[in-house]
Amino acid sequence: MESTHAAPRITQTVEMLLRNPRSLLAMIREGADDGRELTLQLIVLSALGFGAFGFVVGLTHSAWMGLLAAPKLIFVGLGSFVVCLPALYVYGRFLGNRSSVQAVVGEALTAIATAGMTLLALCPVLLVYQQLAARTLGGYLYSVIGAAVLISFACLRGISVLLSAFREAGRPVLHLFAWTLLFGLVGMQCAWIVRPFVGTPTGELTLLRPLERTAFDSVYRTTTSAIETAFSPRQAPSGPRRHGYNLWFEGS
Amino acid sequence: MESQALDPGLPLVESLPLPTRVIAHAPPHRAPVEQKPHPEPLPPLTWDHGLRRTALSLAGMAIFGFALRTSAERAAPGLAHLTWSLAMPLTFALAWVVCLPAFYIFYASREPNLGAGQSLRAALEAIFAVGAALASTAPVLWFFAVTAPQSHILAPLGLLLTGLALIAGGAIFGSSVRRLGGQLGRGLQWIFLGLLVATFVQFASLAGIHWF
Repeated sequence: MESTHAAPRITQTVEMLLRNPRSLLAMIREGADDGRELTLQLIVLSALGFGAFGFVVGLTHSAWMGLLAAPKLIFVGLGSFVVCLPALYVYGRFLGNRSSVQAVVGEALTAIATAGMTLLALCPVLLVYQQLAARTLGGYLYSVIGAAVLISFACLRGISVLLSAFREAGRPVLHLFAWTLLFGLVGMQCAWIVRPFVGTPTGELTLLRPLERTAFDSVYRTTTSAIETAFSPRQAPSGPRRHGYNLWFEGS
Repeated sequence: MESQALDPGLPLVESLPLPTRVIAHAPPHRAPVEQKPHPEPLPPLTWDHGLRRTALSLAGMAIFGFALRTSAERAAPGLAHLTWSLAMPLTFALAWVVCLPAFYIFYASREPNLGAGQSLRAALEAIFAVGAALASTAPVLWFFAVTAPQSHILAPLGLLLTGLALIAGGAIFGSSVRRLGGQLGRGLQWIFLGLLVATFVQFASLAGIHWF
């Protein structure tokens, strides 16, 4: 495909990503600069957002943990994208998306970069939450849940930006729901294999935990433990115990 | 047969038909609501292009067979995986060989615009679609099989991805038949898909492929 536009500078890409994602998507569809430079810029922006947020997540434990968590979260965002890309393209075609492979890469990266920018914006919020609210509410468990909620929000925002841009352009959107589901599942498992991001407050610095159980088991256990803890604060354990959320602490 | 320009990049997936695309031919003297949209005709398939897409589809199924064995047997990749790689495309092709005559005799032979060649062409489009769908989800299944070997989600995931690919194949088959001039109804289309899936599962279990 011949390029009809030169790729914008990275600052212009950020501007378009925040103000007018539709024009960015149109540029991707028209094959700006063969898409290479724009793709690279979107990868950089995604990495920046996910990396910064990962650093703040890890900072709850220590600065070293922050430095470890940053590349892990970048891996979660971009690694999931790589695993899902073939399915995103093929099932997108089945569900009516007529974009080329390169355009699908650009569109998916636009969503991820939007999520990255959202995470960047949420870094101060998380920092305050980690330092104040999470400590008063019960600490580590709520730090993990808080970070997970903000990441989920950022990813959903990335998809919603893509969704509204597609709707404005009169393009089919059904495949975006399939994208969200698939990316969410793979992203969760990706995050699970590179855990911990926070690390137990009293524990030593750990690079990776052994592979045990799955992210989905963990989410179920963490949610039920959080509800249990929130509604029965007097019964919350003061030390390690064999069952309940402390079991999850050991593996997360 | 008319030759067509081929995309050297991704011939299998680039040329997947789109089931939703239609062209409306609205004559000037008739109200648009009365005019039924005609599906866009399927472009002709050259031998070269057809063989290449068939080979890629079979390779896609083989890749999925490999990932499925890793997932279902919780076994480290080895030579035994190649048996599933071989069995997956073979069983799927056999299912089509068994079911396509039934489709032709019970339906296509009664359609004025549909012959054996068109039926075969629609079946090929379905095989291309299933191959592409299975190949595209093989990395996802493989990823879960390797990172969560003890997980309970592996079996339903393998089944879901296979089922989705078969449904995609059924949808593409129906739209291809309509694009080739047939008037295939949705009900009949999904009944035929049910027959195909049952035959495929039967052959797969004979070949030792399982999901649970």
